[in-house]
Amino acid sequence: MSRRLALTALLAASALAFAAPVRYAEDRAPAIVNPLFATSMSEARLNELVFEGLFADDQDLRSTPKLALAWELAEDRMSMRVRLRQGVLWHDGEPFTADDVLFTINAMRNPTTASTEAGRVAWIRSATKVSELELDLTFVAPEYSPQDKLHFKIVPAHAFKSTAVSRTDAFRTSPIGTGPYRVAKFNDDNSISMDRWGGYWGTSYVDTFVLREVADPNYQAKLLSYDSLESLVRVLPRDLATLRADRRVELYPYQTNSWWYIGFNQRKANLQEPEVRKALSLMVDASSLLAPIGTGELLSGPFVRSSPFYNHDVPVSQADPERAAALLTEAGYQRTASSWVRNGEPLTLQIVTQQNLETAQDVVINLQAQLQRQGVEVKPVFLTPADWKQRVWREGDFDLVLSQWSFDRNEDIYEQFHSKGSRNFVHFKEEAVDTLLDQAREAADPQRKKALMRQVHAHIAQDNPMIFLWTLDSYSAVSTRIQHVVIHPFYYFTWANEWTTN
Amino acid sequence: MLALLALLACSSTPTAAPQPKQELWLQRVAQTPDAFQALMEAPAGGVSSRDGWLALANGEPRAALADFTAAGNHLGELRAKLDIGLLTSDLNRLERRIVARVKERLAERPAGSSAALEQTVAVGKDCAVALATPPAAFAARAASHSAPWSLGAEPFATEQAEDYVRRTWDPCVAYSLAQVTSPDGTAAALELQGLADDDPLGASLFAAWPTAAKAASASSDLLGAAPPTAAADDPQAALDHIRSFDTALQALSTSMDGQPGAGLVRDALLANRLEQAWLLAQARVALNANRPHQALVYANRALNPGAGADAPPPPLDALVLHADAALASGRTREALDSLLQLARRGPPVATGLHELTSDLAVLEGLGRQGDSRED
Repeated sequence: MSRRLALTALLAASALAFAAPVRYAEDRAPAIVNPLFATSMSEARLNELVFEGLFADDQDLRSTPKLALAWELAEDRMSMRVRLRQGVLWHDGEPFTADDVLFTINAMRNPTTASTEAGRVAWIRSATKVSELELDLTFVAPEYSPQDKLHFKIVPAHAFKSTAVSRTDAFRTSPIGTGPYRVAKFNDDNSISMDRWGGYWGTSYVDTFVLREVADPNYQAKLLSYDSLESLVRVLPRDLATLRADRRVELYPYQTNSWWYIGFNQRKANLQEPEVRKALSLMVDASSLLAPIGTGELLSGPFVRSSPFYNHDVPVSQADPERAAALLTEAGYQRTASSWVRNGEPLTLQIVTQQNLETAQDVVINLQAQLQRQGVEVKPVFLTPADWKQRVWREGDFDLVLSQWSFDRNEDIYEQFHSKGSRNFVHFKEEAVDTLLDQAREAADPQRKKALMRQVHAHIAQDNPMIFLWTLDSYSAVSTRIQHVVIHPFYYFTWANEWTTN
Repeated sequence: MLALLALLACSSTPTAAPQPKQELWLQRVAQTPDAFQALMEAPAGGVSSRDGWLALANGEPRAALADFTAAGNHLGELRAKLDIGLLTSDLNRLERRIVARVKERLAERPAGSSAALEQTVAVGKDCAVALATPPAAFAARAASHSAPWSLGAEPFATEQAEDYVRRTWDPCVAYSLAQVTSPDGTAAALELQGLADDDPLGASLFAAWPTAAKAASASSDLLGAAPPTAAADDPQAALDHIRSFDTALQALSTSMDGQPGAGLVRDALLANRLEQAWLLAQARVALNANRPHQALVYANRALNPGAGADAPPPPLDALVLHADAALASGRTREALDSLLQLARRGPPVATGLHELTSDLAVLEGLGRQGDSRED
């Protein structure tokens, strides 16, 4: 049977399956679907359904082979040979081979691609094809469990012209993975339908997942209650009691070690001044900003409080308008009737946040009121996901940014705060922090790593590259019609192929 | 402690009909609220026992014991001692698991990379031996074995390393605690069974079993909710079990409408308390049966998500059982969420357990590549 006929048969088998979609809500749909450029949790969750890595977590959070079949680590721990799974098909029916792994690594490395995932392959010195289903990797330094670093998603070499991949490549709207679900359609209402891939090498039960973009979290909870959704990725704390009382809904903890922040763009001259950043921090009453969202814990640095790296000796910053005024005066600003002025220019700041994030919009409006009362004009700008990637990630065209970071269980903030970090779009640069982060990456003793990271926390809190706000209790809600649900603590859908519909 | 655990861990054959075979304390309160009020106040006309019962309901058994002792309430003391025995048994199981996991992870790393953890494992791999013939650094601590409640807040050894302070945490504090409290807990359980006929409400109030005399059932057949029978550690089976229990509890609550104490049961959220106690009993059973994913389902629910800021904090044993279930199912980082709360509220032993687990979480992450995304 030709490959095309085989593919047709597989697709037909897939179409015959009972159609009972699992519709899940995201605040915003991904702007593009391409693991090389995934920056948001909604992209990461969707990628978990569509793409696979060489390894992934099993339900005990141990690395287990996915696209890999077996591996052998050299005695000196400087290289490994990976044998790939046979019979894996891409969603277009092409076979998966070692070329795809090599392509993915090289595309991530290619500076023209400017992949946000580049840091995830920096530890690999070389990748060499041995056969169609075998490759050798050599390392920059000895590795003790390299399989734990080989979870990044593999993309198909045949779908691209070269390893210099553009964000606007057609792949973004016609993605091809090897995962249990293939993107079937980008719908007019901004939802994305993913059908069960009949050629999947493993098993899966749910026929269709549909990502629905629902910007208003209050509305999300109602949709779930009215059976218009099967899964709510994140429940607002204030909705927890209602959903808990609903016998048709099951709550699952979904703690992604996430925290909200207001970042200062340090490419802007006035925000390079520590006094100005500190003054602005002292103008913000985080408790008041949090109140409309629900309960959460205020933070003093870039970790949640239960993190091994959280420095409990660093106090949470309290609003102190008088000290803020003194610092701005020290920085050369003068208070007029309505604003702070320096060299004839009023202190005016543009704050950007995501357009489709109602809770963030509420915070921005309240923040605007707080700062304006204290003589700082704030101009909110609400960006579409595409504009966000362009203006925040690529061009750095903002003064303040309101957003939130989520971390997996390693809580590695290198990419956010190291001057070479791929996610450091606030352009924070502090030599001491760079040194500490480098040392922490190399630390072999966990107690040393903890101590170094707690110093990082203290330094960052002192330097104020961001106003650290809060972390929220995080739960996911899923209809009881969906069974065998186990949620990965970060990627959410890692084990979605085991979900069933009742 | 083994005797107590055996007493509480065995389960009887599940029944099909979701009806209680024994009258539950919840029903007694609904029928005779005056008896409940009398129990909460002063059984012998002396000092009120209210604080003791509240502490017991909120999962603070040491505070309960102090309050019951001050009130001269012997039955309350027995209840508190039983709960202390269970709590320290849970802590001991958690401590043993942490040490075992650290040992397992250290074996994957180059020898000598973590002196403090290596010392912890050397001592904690067999606490009985370490306490009988303690290594030099552990000798002072071993001498305190018989009075361990105050131990654990400080490391038993500290050393200035190159650019950090190396702290060796005591891996046998919970072991010592369990050794000391076990006889009291076992004796209390037995004496309570003898007192059940005289004071059935006091012997079971807020507990997971229908009556103290039925403590041996470990509540597995409470309300007839059939427990998971498959040997596999299937979380869905635990969810189904909870739903079955919820349905039965709802039916029971409805059946109590119109009884003189129905309002009290409703306003004091006593059905929720019964459910929480039941969930914790199930988590304990699942952990002892090596079904950590099911235990995590029960423990997650027992943490009472969505209870609101005004609700009492989770019982101490809920935090311990959640941490243990999370750790046993590979979720070391999630275990820290509960252990931090426990360290803030609990006995000093919790400080060391939290620090050790945070070392373990970092150790497990040394070979991994962190991931972060905008949310």
